[in-house]
Amino acid sequence: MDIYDRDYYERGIETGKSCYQNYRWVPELTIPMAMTMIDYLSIKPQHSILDFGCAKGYLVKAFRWLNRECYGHDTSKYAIDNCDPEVKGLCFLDNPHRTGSFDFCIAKDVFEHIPLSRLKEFFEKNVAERYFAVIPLGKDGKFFAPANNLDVTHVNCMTEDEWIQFFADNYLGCERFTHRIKGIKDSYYEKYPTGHGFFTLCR
Amino acid sequence: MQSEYNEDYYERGIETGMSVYQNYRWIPELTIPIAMVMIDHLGIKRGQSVLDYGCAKGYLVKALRVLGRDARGVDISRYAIENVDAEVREYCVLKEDFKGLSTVDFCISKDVFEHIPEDEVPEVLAWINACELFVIITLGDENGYFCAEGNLDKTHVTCKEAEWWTEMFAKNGWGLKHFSYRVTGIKDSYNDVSPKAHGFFTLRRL
Repeated sequence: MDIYDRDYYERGIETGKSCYQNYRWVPELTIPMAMTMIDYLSIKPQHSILDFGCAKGYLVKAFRWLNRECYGHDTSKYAIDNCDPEVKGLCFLDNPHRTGSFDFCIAKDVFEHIPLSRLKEFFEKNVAERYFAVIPLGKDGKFFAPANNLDVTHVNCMTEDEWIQFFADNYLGCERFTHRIKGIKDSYYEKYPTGHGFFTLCR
Repeated sequence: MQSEYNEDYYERGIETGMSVYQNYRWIPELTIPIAMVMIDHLGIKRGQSVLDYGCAKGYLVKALRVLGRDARGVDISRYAIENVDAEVREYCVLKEDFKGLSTVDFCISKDVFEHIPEDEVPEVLAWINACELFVIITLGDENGYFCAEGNLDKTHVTCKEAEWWTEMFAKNGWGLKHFSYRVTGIKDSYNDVSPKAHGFFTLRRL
C-alpha cells in the first residue's frame, strides 16, 4: 500500500504519518521559494528542470509561472492523481519521457525518504546535469529540527558530511553546501541553524 | 489631470466609456509571470531597485517584491494610491509626494506614456532618475492606435509611431538600447491581430 496517501498529505498530524495538513497551493510561499532557487542556481529561461518528488506539483506550477520549463515526478499515486490542474500533464508517476537529461534536478525534502540503495539507482540514471537537494540533517537517528522526527517515512538521518560522502560515492561532487539559503525554510533557521542542508551537486 | 483616473476609470471603465479596465484587481497568475518576463528581459538582479512609474494600485510592485526585487511605485492617481494593495502600501506613493533620493537601477513604465500629453513628455523623462528605463507604449499614427483597445481609453492622448517615440527619448537624454514590437509573455494576445500594437523600448541615460 502506498504510504504517501490521502492521510499523509491531508491529515498527517492526526494520523501520525507526517507534518502535512491540508496540503495545498500557497502561492505566497511557493512562488518566492521558486524564485530563490532560480536566483541561487542561476536557472535561465532555456534551462529544463525536473522536480523529483513533486507531490501535487506546486513547485512545478511556480516554475511554470516564472517561465521555466519544469516537469515533476513522484511515486505517490495519490499526489499525482490530485495534481494541480494547471500542471496535470507535466507531473508523472514515472520519470518524464524526455530526450537527454535535464539541466537541473531539484529534490526538496525528498532524499531523506528514499532508501540509499534506491537513491543509488536513481543517480545511475543520470537524469540531470546538476542536482539541488534540500535535506533535513540529523545524527544517531534524531533529526536536528524536531519537526522532521514526526514523519514516519524519513528513513535517512545523516549529517552533511555523511551525505557529501554518499554523493561522492555516486559520482556526484558537492559544488556548494550551506545550512541556509534565505527564502527557503527560513522559519527553521533561527532555532535550528543546522536543521537542513542545501547541496548543489554536479556529476 | 489626475482626477480622470478615478473609481470609474479603474472599476467601471467599459460601462462609463473611460477605459478598458473593469474591477481592476490583483491577478497573480497574470502579473507574476509578466514581472518575471521583465526580470529576465532586463536582467534585474535580486535586490536591485526598480521604480514603477504609473504603478496604479501597485500590483507590478507587489509581484516584483514577491520575486525579491526592491520595487517601488509612483502614480498621479489619488484614487489608485488610496486603494493600493495593502502589501505594498508603504512602497507606492503619489508622484507629488515621492521623495526619490538616489538613482534607481531600473524604471519601468507600462501603458503610461500614451497618457502623457506630448508637451509634457520631456518633463517626465527628465524626472525619471534611473540607470535604465523600460517603456511599453500603445503605438499608433494619425489614424488612431493600431489596436482597437487603444482607441477605447479616453485618456490616451499621444498617438505616435515607434520612430517618433525613439526620437523623443533621444532628444530628452534617453538612448535606445533595445526595441521590439514583441516581448513574449507581455501582451501576447495582441500579436496575432495587431503585431505592431505596442512598442517595447529599453533605454539608457545618454
